[in-house]
Formats: sequence, C-alpha cells, structure tokens
Amino acid sequence: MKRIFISLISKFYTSLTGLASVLIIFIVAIILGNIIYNGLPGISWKFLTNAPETGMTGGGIFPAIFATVALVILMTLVVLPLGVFTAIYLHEYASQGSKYVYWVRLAIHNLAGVPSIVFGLFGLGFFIQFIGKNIDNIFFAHTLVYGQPAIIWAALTLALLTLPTVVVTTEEALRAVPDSFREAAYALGATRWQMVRHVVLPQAIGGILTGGILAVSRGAGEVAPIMFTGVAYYLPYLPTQLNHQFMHLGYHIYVLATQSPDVEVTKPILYSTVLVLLVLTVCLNFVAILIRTKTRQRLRGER
Amino acid sequence: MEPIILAKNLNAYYHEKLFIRNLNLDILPNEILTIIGPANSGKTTFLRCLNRLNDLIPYFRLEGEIFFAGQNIYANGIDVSLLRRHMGMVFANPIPLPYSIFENVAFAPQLHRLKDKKQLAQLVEKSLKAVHLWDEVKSRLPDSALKLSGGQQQRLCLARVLALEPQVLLLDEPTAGLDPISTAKIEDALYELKKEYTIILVTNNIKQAARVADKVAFFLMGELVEYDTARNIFTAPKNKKTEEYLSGRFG
Repeated sequence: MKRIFISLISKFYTSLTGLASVLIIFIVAIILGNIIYNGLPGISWKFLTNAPETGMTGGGIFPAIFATVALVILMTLVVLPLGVFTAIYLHEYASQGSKYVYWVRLAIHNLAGVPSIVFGLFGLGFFIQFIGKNIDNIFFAHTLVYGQPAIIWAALTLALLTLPTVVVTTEEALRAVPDSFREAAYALGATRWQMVRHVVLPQAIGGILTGGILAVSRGAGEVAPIMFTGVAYYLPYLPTQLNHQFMHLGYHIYVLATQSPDVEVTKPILYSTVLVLLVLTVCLNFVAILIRTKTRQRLRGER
Repeated sequence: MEPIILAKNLNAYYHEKLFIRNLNLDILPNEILTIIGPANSGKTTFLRCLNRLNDLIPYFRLEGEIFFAGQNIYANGIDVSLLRRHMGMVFANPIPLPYSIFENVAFAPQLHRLKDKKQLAQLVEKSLKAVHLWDEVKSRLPDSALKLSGGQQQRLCLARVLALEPQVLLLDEPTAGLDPISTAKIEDALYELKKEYTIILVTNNIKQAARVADKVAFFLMGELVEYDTARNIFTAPKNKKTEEYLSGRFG
C-alpha cells in the first residue's frame, strides 16, 4: 500500500514538472504564433520603407526602424568602450581584493538593479537639464540646441542601462582566459598592455562581442528610458543630427496601442510593428550566438 | 670565467611561508645547469625569480639579491620586460597562443618592434630550425599552432623563446608531458643551443639531468643541498641526501 502511494507521488511530480516546462513552450508558441499570424500579412516593402500616414492608420514604420537602429548604434559606440575598458581595468589592472574594486563592482551591480524608468528620469535630469542646458548656455548663447530631448541623450541613457551587462560579460570573458597565457606573454617580455592587447583580448573577443550584442538587443527593446529623453510620437523627418528627436519601434508600439484615433484600423499595423521589433531582436541574439561559436572554434584550432 | 647569474642569500616567502632558504648559486655562461629535487623543493620558484615572474603572484616576497651580467635585477628602476627578453622561459605545459605557427614564433619580435618582413621570416626560420621543427611545419606556417601535437607545440614554444634572442634559457620541466621521442628531440636541441645560451633546466627526470647537464644543483625543502659538476654528482655525491635521492630512496 505504502509503495503504491510513494510511486503515485513520484508520478505526480514527474507530471507536474513536465507540465510546467510544456507550459513555457506553450506560452512562447502562443505569443509568437499570434504575432506572426496577425503581423505577417501587413509586412511589405512599402510598410518597411515608408513613413506613417493619416494619423498612424496607414503607411509604414521606416522612421521608427531607422531611428531604432541609429539609437542602438550610438548607444553601442558609447557603452562598448566604456564597459570593456572598465572590465579590463577591474580584471587585468586593479589589484584583486582592493577596496576600490569592491566599490566599483558594487556600483555596477546596483546599476543593474535600477528600474529602467528611473534611468529615463535620470537621463532627463542629468543629461538634458544639466549637461544639455549647460552646453547651450556656454556654446549656443542660451538658445535651445542640446537642452532638450534628443537622440544623443537617449543613447547615453540606454548606454548607462546596458553598462552592467557589458562589464559583467566582459569580465567573464577575461576570466575565461587561463592565467598561463598571461604568464607566457609576460615571460616573452610583453608589457601589461601588450599582454592584454595581444593575448587576452583576442581570446576574449567572442565573449565581449556576445555581451555587446546582448546589450544591443536589450537596448533595442527598452522604451521607458527614452520616453523622457528623446523619443517622439511622430516626426516628419529622420534623425540626422545628434540633437534631433526620433521615432522608435518600441515607443511606436506603445503609441499605436494607446493613442490611436481608430483602434481597429491600427491593429494590423500594430501587429506588424511588433513582428518587426521581435525579428530585429531575435536576429541580434542569433548573431551573438554565431559569433560565440565561431570564436570557440577558432580557439580550438578548427578554422 | 665570470658567472652570468649570481644569487646571493635568497629567501623566498609565499604567505610568509619559506619556500627558498638562504640560497647562494653562481651560474657560468654557456653551461647547462639542471636543477633536480623532489616536489616543493623550490626549483620552479627559483627559476621564476630569475625572470621576476613571481612578481605577479600576490603575497610573494623575496629577500636577497640576484645579479645578471653584474646587475642586480631586483634593484629599483630595472625594466622588467627587458629583463624577461634576456631570460627566455619555457613552461611545463606547452602554451601556444591561438595564432598561426608563424605568428607564434614572430610574436615576441613583433612585440619588440621588429617590423622588417624579411628579417622576421629569417628569424622565424632560424628559431624553428634550432628546435628541429622547421622540416615538420615549413609547409604549413599559416596553420593554427593549436593543430600541432603536444611535442611539436612544446618545441614551438622553445622556438618562440629563441626568437626573443635571449641570453639565458629558463626551462621549467619542458619535457614533463612529452613522449620519449619528442623529449629526445628537445634534448638534442639543448646540446646545440648551449653554444649560444646559458641554460637552466628544472627537471624531475634524473636520467634527463644525467644526459644533458654540465652542472647539477640538488634542491631539497627550499635549500640547495649540493651543487657540483654532473660527473661528480652522479658518480660521487658528497651529501647523503643527494645520494638517497639519486638512488630513488625518496622524492
């Protein structure tokens, strides 16, 4: 009797854990299926290359795609050097166990825990109201040039948001390089920088790029940090200067879902926009995986 | 003859535990000195003092002086990376860098600003020939060095050090993980290299010491027990401990 009871419990938990994992696939399938089913018919060359028309109820999403890509590139240009150099300093230069390194690490981990909307507010307060205003006061005779929401401030805010990702993944990549390589380089008379540049970085570059792309795919989807710092509901021009405002895929989805004059007409456009954003992010993740595998192969000597 | 390396009253500590005790040693140029002794006798520690690689280890501390060509290498203002170019080191495990065979050997000269392509190619060829590897790899220099066998990789690492054009070779059990044929090839190379370099070889293999050494130093528990010509050590050791170690009674 007892044996049967025990085996019943065992079967129960087998099913329970199995069900939980099936549920995840189920949810992803529903989300993706729904978006693809409803979004795919609306995707066309015209949709991808034209601006929105007639109050978001027609036309395409090209300005949003363009500016999302531009924003992410700007962000990457800032966050990659800053994050990678920070990680190199923490792992290769600073003496391990020092108080300073402890505080920097603590700061980075806390940065990772800050809600994204707070980054948005910080961007507004620090970059726009403080830095932008002062640039205007000093260089532009108090006219409004940089002291307003702009793509550069949004990119900087996103860079702060994704900085912990880059620092942590870069440090992990550096840690994965065995110390024997560092000793070998030193024994050949390399200076510390030569050792880092020619021995450690080439082996860590895969991990670093993976981190960079993870940051990009995170940054591409974030809306909250840019809401106060540069994104616009609709613009008749593309952002071609650093102080321009811009449209954004994520924000465009928000706009379509909440601010549309005619919900039924915008619904297919909304679905297609979501699909484009998803594909963009999935592509970035895919590239990250590809780079990682390629680098691993190279380090194992398979060209 | 003037000694090229002179160690005076060395004491080495790690976490304040003594690893080398009051060591005095002078090494003549163009000789092969082999350092033998059981594990934890301070052989490798001593070797790594000579190119200051122990500087990288936290909680390591050294007392005493080491003179190289008359200069105290632990004096203030010594250019450590320059010192390491004079003291080429090969480790127990082959550590090829994840580059091509050519780039591995050309690595150090390129770090030190040898730009001339032709000179570089000549240096690479000369270094690979010196370790008897040239014939095996000359047709595939652009291939990844990681594709070589363990024995080839270790000879590549030796060639990489020779391309530094050092004065002293520090070899830390370079044949520990190799098959007898690869070992023989490296030992052959050492005979010829002796003409140009001073060689300090740490080894656990007593037979290897007997085959290649001019001088032998026997280390035990961080102390230099006996230091003499290979002939004297192997035929008539003065210290009882040396005799016991050589006859395999401990270690």
